[in-house]
Amino acid sequence: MTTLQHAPAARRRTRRWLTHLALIAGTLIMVYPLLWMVGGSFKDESDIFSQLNPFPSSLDPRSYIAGWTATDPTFTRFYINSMLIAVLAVAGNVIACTLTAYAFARLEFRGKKVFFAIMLSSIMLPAHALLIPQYVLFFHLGWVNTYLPLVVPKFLATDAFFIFLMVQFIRTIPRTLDEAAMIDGCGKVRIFSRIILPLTGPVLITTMIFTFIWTYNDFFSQLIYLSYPSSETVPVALRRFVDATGNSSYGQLLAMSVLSLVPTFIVFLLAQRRIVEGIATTGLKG
Amino acid sequence: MSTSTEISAPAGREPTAEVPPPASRPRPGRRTDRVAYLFLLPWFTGLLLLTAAPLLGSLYLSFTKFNLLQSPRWNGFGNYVKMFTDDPRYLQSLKVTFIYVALTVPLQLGFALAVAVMLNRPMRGMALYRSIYYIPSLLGGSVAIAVIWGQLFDDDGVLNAFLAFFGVGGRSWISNPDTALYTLVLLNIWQFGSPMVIFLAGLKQIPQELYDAASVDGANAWRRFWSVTVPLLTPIIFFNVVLQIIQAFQAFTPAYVVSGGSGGPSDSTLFYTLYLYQQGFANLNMGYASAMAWVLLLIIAIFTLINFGLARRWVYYEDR
Amino acid sequence: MTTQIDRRRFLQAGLAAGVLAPLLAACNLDPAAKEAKNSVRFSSYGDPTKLGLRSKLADKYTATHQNVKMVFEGTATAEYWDKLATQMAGGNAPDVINIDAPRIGQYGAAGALQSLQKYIPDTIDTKPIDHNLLVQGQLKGEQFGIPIAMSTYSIGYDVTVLDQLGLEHPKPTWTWAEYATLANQIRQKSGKKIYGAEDPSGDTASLQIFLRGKGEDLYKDGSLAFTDASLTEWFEYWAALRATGGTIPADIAAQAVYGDWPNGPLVKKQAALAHIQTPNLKGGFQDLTDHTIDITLPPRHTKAGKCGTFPAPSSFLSLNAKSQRLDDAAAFINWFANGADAAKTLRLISGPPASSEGRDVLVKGSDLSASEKQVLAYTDLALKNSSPPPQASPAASTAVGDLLLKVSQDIAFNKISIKQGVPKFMADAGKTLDGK
Repeated sequence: MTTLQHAPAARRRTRRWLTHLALIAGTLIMVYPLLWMVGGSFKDESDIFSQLNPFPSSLDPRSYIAGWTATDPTFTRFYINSMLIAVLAVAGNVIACTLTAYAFARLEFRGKKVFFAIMLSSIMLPAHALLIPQYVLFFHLGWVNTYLPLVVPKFLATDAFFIFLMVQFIRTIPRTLDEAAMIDGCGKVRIFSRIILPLTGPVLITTMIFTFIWTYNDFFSQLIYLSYPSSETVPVALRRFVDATGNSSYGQLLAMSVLSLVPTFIVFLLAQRRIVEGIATTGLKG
Repeated sequence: MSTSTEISAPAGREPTAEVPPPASRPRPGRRTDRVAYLFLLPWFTGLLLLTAAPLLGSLYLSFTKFNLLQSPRWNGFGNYVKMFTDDPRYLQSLKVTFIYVALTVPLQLGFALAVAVMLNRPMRGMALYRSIYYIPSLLGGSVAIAVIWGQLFDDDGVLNAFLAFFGVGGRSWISNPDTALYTLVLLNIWQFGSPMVIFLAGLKQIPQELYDAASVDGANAWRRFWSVTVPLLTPIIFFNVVLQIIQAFQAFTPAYVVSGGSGGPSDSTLFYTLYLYQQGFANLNMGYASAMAWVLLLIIAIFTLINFGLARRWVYYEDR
Repeated sequence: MTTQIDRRRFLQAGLAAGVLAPLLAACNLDPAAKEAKNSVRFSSYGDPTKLGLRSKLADKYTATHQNVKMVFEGTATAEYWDKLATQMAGGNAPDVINIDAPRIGQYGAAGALQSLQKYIPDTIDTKPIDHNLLVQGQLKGEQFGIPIAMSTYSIGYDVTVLDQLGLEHPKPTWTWAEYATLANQIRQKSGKKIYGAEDPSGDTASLQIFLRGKGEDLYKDGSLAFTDASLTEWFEYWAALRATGGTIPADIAAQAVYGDWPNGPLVKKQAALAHIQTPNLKGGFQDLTDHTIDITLPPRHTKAGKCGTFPAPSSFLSLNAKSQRLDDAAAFINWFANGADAAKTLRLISGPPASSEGRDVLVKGSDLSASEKQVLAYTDLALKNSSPPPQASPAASTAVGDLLLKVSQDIAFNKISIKQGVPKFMADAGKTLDGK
């Protein structure tokens, strides 16, 4: 190492290789289950659990075909439903949570402290305890068996996780920016749209990613609120493949599980670039 | 962007006790922004229409006996008293959950921050690594996780094969009551994707100029991390600490990995919310489950308050 | 597009979403929701195949009956009960409810299910249904659920392993002592490569078979119906086998929490004996291993003694007490339980039909598969050897099951002794059953 001290370029290269090495080792740990799932989805039912080797002997897609059409309607319908809910939820969360977060982070109003506490405490109660009162409420609103219980709450900023997340990010933006804009004659609304919004790029993307993935995977409320086969979603349909009363189809389960990861993985892969390219390259250059 | 700005270097900033928490009351002389209520309109609507009623509903149920099928019957503080005087499984679930929170929060966040910093480097292939490292979090509590964790920590699993190489005799770590919980702590650390992404987003908010300035001052990578990265990241670290504590207290799905949701072996993975769920939905004691939920809310609220209190000492905001 | 969030795009998106949200509210998104008016809702649980067949049956009923529109709601088994309980609490449960034995106790006792007594025999004909099955759907003599199929407790054994080791297959008249001998022989002859049997000491269904062989049972009139001595004998039996390797060690047993999880020791070839509920033989076991699995009767206490097995309904159909279409729903239950259409469609997917009319349709058909024949033959054997069935389970039976699993694991992991564990369980279970 001492010789490298005098050769920064070489030292940087070594460090780069070490980083890659560590990251690749980590990669193996991270993707092993995925490998196992993909491998299992091509295996015979009787080999999935009795063989430790994750690699299948052939690439027979029969589990994929059988799994996709095992239900009535097929998974095509479930994907359309899941996507629709997830996209609407993303729109709702991004709009409603930014508005709310801006108010909590930058504006002054009476009862702010109390409201903030109420907002945070709404995520402290375990979901299972809220389920019944919520169901009763949505039932009386006539929303059961529609997508409304899954989508409308997002437009009304009920997801305190993201509000708090955005509050914290907005507070990393120097207030001097607001004050400069104020001197230029901007009101609070203009400050929000001209300064705060453009500068919260990474956290908006984060909110989009998480909302998409978590809504897409949010099995329990979809289970409770959607009853008819035609309105069902991917995670709910997936659960049917494992059944304690027999006739489980593990090959099909794994095949459909692999496919169910595709939308979220693509969303993550595409969106994470935007987090990273976000502000550092364009933002505060002024 | 039309606004021209300048950034003050962090060197001049010091922690002060005056840093207001996000929910500070209006300072004297600063008037209320009426437009705030416009911004808060969706949230207020949601609070009144969708959040408040179920919250109060469950509070009411916590004072009743309610089997979901008949009308709730008033039970006073009966549920709360029973919890602490006549339910050893409840106390066990408290113990399991506290151990889990104490171990999993610092370890997972430390790991997530370290990886985020590593993945934040301008190197080729980082986009791919970031996506790969998020895969465990995409998998969530799927059936594959249960099998994989078995393969790693079973009596004939990978860990034991590794230990046998050094002549150490193993056992089934995942289904032994003395070790099962720790395999779930590991599982949670492994699914570190969400805090990692939030850290990454936070790191990207830090202007490169500050690093450049620090480099000019002769700070090495380690110094830059502690004098630029960490201080500017404290609001985000704070967020992750608060939220991870909340989420760890509510841990539910990991127990399905080892025990199919039973909380076994020997109740060693009986998480608080798992027991709450068993009481509410399997045993149809929803009144009792609601009371458990409110006690948990209280516990979490206390931890969160402590967090906000301590935050004055270490969280730096740019908006003072 | 630049990499930062473009304000205009954001506002456009916001505007679009803002318009979309009320639009959503205005038009009901779900096409099926319209059907819910004036129709009979039928909920069921199971895997895709089972749900697909039952959904088809519901459609067939709609097609052949005027003025009734069946609406099918299928859910995976594990989550079905959560959903049903939520719907019940919300006053929005389906009219016809597919339900299992413990929940008949839970829901029936709470008045959530409609007594079927006034529909028998005019609307629902129960004569073709085996009396022993029927009584398991009764509470205090009133019928609350109509059994649709039979499931029987059996002992599955790995034929391939037994043949390799040169061991005799178990006979239907075998005893618990012979079970233990065979289990130990498997361990010894395999060179300690595999264990003899699974460890069902924490499984209430297995304990029940053991108790019934002694003339006792799990519950009678809502209380425990067995002695401390019997439970001690049960735990000691498995503790002895655990010591010799005749049953799997505590940690492997905990890994395979009872039921039909594919990581079970029989499928993973860790043990050669395990209990199997007949409808699970194919999908839960045989399809998951390349070894051959066969089933036989559970052991008795003495050669001439009683066999504890009994045919149990795999599931029931019940009526929601709050249903607005009780008569139509009751008629559907009869058609589903007794009809030839139902038998031909469902076959043995949940076990042999409970109704003899349904069974006749199947047996007369000449298209039975090998595993269907296996199950039918075993069911005949079990019916000949079974003793009177137990009463419907009390409401707290699931909680008692949790307690048994816990105490069995405490014992297996040497956390407590059998002497301490038995009275503790009896006390805790008694308290749970009393609703304290």
